[in-house]
Amino acid sequence: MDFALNEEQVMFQSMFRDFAQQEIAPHARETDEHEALPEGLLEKAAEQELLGAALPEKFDGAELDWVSICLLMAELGRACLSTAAVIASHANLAALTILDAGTDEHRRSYLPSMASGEVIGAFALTEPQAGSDWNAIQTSATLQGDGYILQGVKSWVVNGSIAGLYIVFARAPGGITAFLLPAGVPGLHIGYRERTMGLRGCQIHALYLKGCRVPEADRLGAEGEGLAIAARALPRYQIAIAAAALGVSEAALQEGKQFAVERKQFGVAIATKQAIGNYFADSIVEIETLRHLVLHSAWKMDEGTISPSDLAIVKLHSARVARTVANRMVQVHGGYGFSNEYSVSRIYRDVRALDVMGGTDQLQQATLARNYFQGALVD
Amino acid sequence: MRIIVLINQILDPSGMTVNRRAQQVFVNRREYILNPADLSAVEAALQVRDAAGGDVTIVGLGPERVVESIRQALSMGADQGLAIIDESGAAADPAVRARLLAAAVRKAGPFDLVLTGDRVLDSDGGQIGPRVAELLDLPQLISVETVACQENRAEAIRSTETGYQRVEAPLPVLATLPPDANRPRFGTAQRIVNVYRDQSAVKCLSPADLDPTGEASSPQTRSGGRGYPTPREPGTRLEGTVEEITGRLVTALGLGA
Ligand SMILES: Cc1cc2nc3c(=O)[nH]c(=O)nc-3n(C[C@H](O)[C@H](O)[C@H](O)COP(=O)(O)OP(=O)(O)OC[C@H]3O[C@@H](n4cnc5c(N)ncnc54)[C@H](O)[C@@H]3O)c2cc1C
Repeated sequence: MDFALNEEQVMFQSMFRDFAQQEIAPHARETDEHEALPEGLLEKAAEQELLGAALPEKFDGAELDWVSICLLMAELGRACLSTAAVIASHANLAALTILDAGTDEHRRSYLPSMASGEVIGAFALTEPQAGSDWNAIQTSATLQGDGYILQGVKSWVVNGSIAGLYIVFARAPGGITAFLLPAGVPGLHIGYRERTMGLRGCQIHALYLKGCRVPEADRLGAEGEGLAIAARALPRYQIAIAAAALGVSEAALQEGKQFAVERKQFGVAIATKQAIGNYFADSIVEIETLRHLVLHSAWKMDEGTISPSDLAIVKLHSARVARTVANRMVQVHGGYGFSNEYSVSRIYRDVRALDVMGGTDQLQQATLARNYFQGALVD
Repeated sequence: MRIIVLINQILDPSGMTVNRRAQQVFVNRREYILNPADLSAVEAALQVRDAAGGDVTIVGLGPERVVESIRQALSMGADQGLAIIDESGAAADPAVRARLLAAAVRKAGPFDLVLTGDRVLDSDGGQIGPRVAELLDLPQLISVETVACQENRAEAIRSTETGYQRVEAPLPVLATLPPDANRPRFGTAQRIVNVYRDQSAVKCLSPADLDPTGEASSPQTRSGGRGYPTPREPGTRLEGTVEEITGRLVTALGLGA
């Protein structure tokens, strides 16, 4: 048993950190205020090969293991959670799903340009009436000639307005099916933008599919394979989101530390007050347990031994830790924590999404309880 | 164009807290980084190579862990690395360090340009560049912001208190750069993978390989202990118009008639 990162992972981590702290963190506030990533940021990330980090080398990726991917996501989350979510949606949800379910032709034609950032990916599963319940999706894909006609509405699509390629799930004659839709195809319209309380740098949109024609060659996997494809995609996103949650928790703690050392009340730094110290102590414990859990889960991903319950644990715990730590650190800031002048207030708004994106806490609990009692309840 | 960059590795200051009251440095995290001025030198070397062609060799001297800093430079795009592994700490002496580095440069073969940082962040020392230049009998361009090479000459820009100076010297030449001379590029993921895949990317030597007699390694500096400057009384602030201040200053200095 070995808990140490190898030398290569240590170097990745320091490159990720240098890049994220120098190129992303200084723009986190404007990303939130301007509701978009700074111009050129994704191109810079692509130059460091961060957009195709997990893709194989033959598709211009860096073929990193899951432990390294989690180190990357943690550094992105520490610098700016909006940026982390944009990159995770592009790389982990979209690109890796094409690698997983696409034909060689799909992979060759899309993956190198996704690694280079020329094409940004989006994943459109959710619908207004179908959130946790994927089976309820209503977007239809009817056969016509040598292709399909898509009709329906998708919602909550991260990268909705910046994507060059959408993975869209729709109900075909053979069941729910995934399709690849390049931006600009006739009948694909970018809908309204969600006005969100946090992650405001993510451009989250509805998509309207109005008689959108998709050739059969752009079907991802077989008809009826859509939910299985989505189910395989989810873990790759959940682990990334959990790692980003770790990074953003550490960022919140750091903000809190700086404030608690500098802020004086009753003649002393508030850090010397036991009640404040306990906030830090509890947060340190939670962050440290999360770090082990995230890296252990990533290692299990690499080993191919991760289970649905393992993923539910890390997803649920990471969101809770981030939310709890951010909440405490807002409190440490007193009234200033409620001011947008302080980063901790943005972090607090951002982390609230972690309990929902990639599957809600309740679904993780349901998965855990169901698997735990499996076979034990007979009636 | 053959370029050699001399690098040093230091304890990451962001892992330390300096407590003035306790007159102590607390090390919270023992991590090592490439000395920032040397990182500028690596970036400058890569720029010269990218413009003029050739290759960049990184030479590092220190304990085994110095190899990681050489690898960092390779991940940025340098071509090969040479590590002189010295666990004895003898190379903390700038005279010894410079002699070993000069020997390493000679060993690395013919070269046109030697670059290094103009100071090392931990001790704030700035001796290595000039010392190595002297030992190799090279012209030296010290603390320059940029270096470019053209037809057997190196041209550099140095910033001074009053403006910029353009300085030049015939190749081969040694130049040193300050930490803020440029924005060093980051390594890329793919290069990091390759650096670890290619185990021969960094060649390792020992000081004995460069200095068989041990002569170069005999220290010249002796530590006389450590002390802090005695605290001084704050000075007096003179206020008023220029005339008033001048008058008061003359009186204060006891120069008044
Ligand atoms: C920031 C953000 C980014 C997103 N990005 C994308 C994206 O890129 N692509 C995409 O397709 N979707 C995306 N989503 C949508 C996300 O996947 C859904 O919000 C999520 O699946 C939950 O669906 P819902 O919002 O419809 O909530 P609902 O499913 O309606 O849930 C409402 C409440 O009921 C609870 N609930 C639902 N079912 C059960 C159950 N069986 N047992 C117990 N409780 C239950 C939920 O936990 C929740 O508390 C994103 C969402 C957010 C917030």
